[in-house]
Amino acid sequence: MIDITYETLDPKELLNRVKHNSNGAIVTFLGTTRDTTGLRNVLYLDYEAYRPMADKKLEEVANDVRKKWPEVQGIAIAHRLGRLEIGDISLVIIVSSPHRKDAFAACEYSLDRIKQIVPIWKKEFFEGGEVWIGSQETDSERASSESPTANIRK
Amino acid sequence: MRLFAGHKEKAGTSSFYVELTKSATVGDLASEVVKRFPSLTKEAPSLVIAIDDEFREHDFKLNYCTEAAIIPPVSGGSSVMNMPLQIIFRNPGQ
Repeated sequence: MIDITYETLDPKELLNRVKHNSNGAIVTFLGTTRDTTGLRNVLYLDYEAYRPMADKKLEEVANDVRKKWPEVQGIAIAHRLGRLEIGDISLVIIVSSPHRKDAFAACEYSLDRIKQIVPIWKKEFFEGGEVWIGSQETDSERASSESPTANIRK
Repeated sequence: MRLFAGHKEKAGTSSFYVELTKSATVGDLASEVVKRFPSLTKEAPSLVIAIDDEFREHDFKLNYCTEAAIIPPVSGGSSVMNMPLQIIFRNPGQ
């Protein structure tokens, strides 16, 4: 099951949706909001999405997983949008299958694939400024933005 | 055309209209964006563009599309999406 929401994510509720008696393994990934990025102190994050493409692409990730790992029984991917405080859960991926090898592999693949093709972006608000996460500058600009004081708006 | 994330801020707008010829391609769209918003990128070919929720190459023809978006990079580090920018354009009457 796929969900994009502004509501607080509930991993337990999602778990109940994908677990089955034939599962031998359920792997859960929680993406959480970290308090530092490099040397920057993060205050909070804000997530924005291009919908419905983001919804379609999450479905596509789940379908890819099912094709690559036919033994996988349940997949839940839920992404939260809007403002997230430190420690909040931004992303939940749960994969259930008879055996753990597929579950681990499918969960990691899902995360990597989401970061490649799903149009959801996060803006980091840190002490001293804010920046969209991602390589949005040109190479020459990126070189000067490596320091934690880059992109600071006064 | 709709702009998102860092591109939206750099351009100072989240959507704008573009007029193109019937035979226009995604590449033409990209060139138009670069012309209109030179602060976004100097490299039109680097723009990653989604047409009606699907990523399309720059030779893709636009005549039947209803919405285009330029997709900014999703995450830091290695990403298959390079310098996308969201442009959504309405194509009425198609």
